[in-house]
Amino acid sequence: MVEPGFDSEGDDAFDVTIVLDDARLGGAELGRILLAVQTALLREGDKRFPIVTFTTEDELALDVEPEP
Amino acid sequence: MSSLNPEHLIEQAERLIVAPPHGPPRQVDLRRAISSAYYGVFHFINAAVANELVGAIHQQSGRYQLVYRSVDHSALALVCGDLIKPSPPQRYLDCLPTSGLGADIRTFSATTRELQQKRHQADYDPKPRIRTADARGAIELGYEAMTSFQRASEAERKLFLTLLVCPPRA
Repeated sequence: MVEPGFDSEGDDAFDVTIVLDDARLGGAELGRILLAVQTALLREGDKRFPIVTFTTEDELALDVEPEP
Repeated sequence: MSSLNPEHLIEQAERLIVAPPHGPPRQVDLRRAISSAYYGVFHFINAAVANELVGAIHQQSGRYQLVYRSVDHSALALVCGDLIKPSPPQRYLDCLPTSGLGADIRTFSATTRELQQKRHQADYDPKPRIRTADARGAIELGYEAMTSFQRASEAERKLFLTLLVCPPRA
């Protein structure tokens, strides 16, 4: 899922949600994904930063009001 | 060993995302976990700079402290952002290898920039609901940032640290 958003400087950014399956992805794989996404956007001339959020199908299914 | 071990910040983050007996972890714990994951990387790079310029054996000295604290978040964001660009800015060209930087330093840069953004959101934006998987992802990214930096060649690590504290003039 990709939506427009803003980075910490208030510049245009992408809010990217990556839904993981049950298998836990390791840091090396997540790092490769981030590097690929960031460089692909830059290669296309898009300077918006992709702010990635991770979630799982289970979390989406159980989406309830947050604990305070 | 310094009095502050950067990996302990990430281990602290792991403890924060453990669910209590009932319900999910509190939002404040998930947010602090993301923040700690970033600060683990930030202190890791501060120590790398000070170890390079002053030496780890002098870490109780005032000079070590000065160098350790000389790195700021925006300088780190700038160099990380520039080094993942397919064509780094002209001002870097005299410093970078003609073959470009390796994947490890670029992965460090990408994961650190991502953690900076996530930390900012976790610390300052009350709106989004933080999920456990997101905090766990930030923790994995924190470990990966440190690991990828350590995997990089010595020459590339030194180059990164030099560009961080001595950014080339435009």
